[in-house]
Amino acid sequence: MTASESQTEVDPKPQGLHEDWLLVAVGIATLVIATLLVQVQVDPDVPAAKPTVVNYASNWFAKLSNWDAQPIDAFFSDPEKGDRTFLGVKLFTTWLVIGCVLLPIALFRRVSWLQFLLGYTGMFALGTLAFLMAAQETVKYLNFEYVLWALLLGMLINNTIGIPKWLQSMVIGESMIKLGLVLFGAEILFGKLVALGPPGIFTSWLVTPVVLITTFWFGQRVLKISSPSLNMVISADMSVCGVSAAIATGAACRAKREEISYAIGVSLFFTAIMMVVQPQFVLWSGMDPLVGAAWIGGTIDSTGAVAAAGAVLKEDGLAVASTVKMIQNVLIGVIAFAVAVYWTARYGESEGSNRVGWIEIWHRFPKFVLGFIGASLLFSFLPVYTQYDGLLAETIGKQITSQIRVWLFCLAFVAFGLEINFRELSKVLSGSKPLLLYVIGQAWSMILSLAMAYLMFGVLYAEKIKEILAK
Amino acid sequence: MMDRDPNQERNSTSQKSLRLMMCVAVLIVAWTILLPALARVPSVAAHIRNLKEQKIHADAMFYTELEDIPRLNYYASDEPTPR
Repeated sequence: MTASESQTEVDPKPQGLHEDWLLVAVGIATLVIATLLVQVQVDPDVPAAKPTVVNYASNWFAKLSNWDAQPIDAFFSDPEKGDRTFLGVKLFTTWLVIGCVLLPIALFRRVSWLQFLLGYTGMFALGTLAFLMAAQETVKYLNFEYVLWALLLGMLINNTIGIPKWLQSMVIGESMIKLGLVLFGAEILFGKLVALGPPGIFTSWLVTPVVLITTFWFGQRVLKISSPSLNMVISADMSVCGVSAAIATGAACRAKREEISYAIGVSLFFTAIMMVVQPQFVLWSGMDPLVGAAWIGGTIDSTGAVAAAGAVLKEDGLAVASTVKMIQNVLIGVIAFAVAVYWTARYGESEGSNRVGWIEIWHRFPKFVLGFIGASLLFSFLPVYTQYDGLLAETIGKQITSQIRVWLFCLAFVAFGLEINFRELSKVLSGSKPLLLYVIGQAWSMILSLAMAYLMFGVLYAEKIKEILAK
Repeated sequence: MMDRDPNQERNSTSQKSLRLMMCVAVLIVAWTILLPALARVPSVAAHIRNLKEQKIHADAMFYTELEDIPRLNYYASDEPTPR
């Protein structure tokens, strides 16, 4: 069975209501409930006191612990500190919460309760296994994220025994990704943009779109990559922030699951190398560590890898690198929105005509992107979220929505793996052009980022940055 | 349409299951023997130790997945930068 055949079989979307609207509604409902679960309290008798946060869902989500040689250690809260509390209850509550979030989609697709229970539990078990593989210390500290293992597990099953029938009803990766992205919007806070002032904005928000657009242009015009969506996903994950950018832009430009998977694989491979080599190059070359840190923040794809590489340049290096990356992270909302608009207008369903009217654009536009950008704007600017320095928005994003989003992405990549067969994947992998695009784009990004980092952190704002760091 | 031979189908199913079990065995060996051995190579061990000490999650996909790391605030002039 080919991937496209399996897609038709397990993906019977009812006609009528666009599923994207349902995903937006479920996402918003989840965000409202998350908001109700977190309270910011201020002691009225002590005006100068810092506000405190109460999160009623703080114990709901399981995060597997790191393990070295004994996988069982992952299921205890913190074995290294001697805390052997079993995570079973948390895993159950996580299963329950994610199940509640996915249930409306299953009902919309007319999946029976029994099918849902079996299919979802099977997917959750595979997701847990992917997290277990990612929690192994060598894997974790080399930045090989859970999505890679989720994909691998799904592909192993599909390419050996095929998708078991009882699992088929929940192989809905695309919907899980879109729902995860609506929730993801709540983590993209525009207030973070100004964290480093003009140097941060110039390094992250000027260089990144320039690299993205020129790399995409290069892929289309010079390398002549046959799939524009593959070109866009590679360009975005290389220039913005790795896996998360590949997922967001991939969904926005309706890239094939094989294309998103390929882009993620390439990005994680090069990130693992760059996070080790780039800081060593900064030290070896005698470069100003702050310029080096800003350069690392602007070029290494993955956020965690940026922090790991920045830490080699000591505490100030870590602060500068991770802040530059955080500002770049915020760009993902704007990029995904812009890509969705461009794609709808340029590569619509009716091939052959490049110019389409606004009504047609609206019909074709992926509606979940509105939920994604809407959540980001609400959490960035609505007074209820922005008061107390955005404490409420930060807590919800960090402690609730990111926990749900991570599980949704993990299950989505298990589903993607279950729909990819090696023959289909080899079509994407064939030829060296996509790899060449990544390498040339990354080299271009490194040159531009270094020039801007030097100008901003080494010349124009060097004193101001040192002043902030000295506080 | 010709009916499939049930014996052939059974053989093919068991072959597929065998292939899956072999893949699972490879994963178990890699994750419980090879990767822990790699973690004990001095340079890798030092890398892991450093990141652990600084509470850095190298596998974070987005900044919200990182633990609280020192960040800068360009416009705040009164409060010291959190360390």
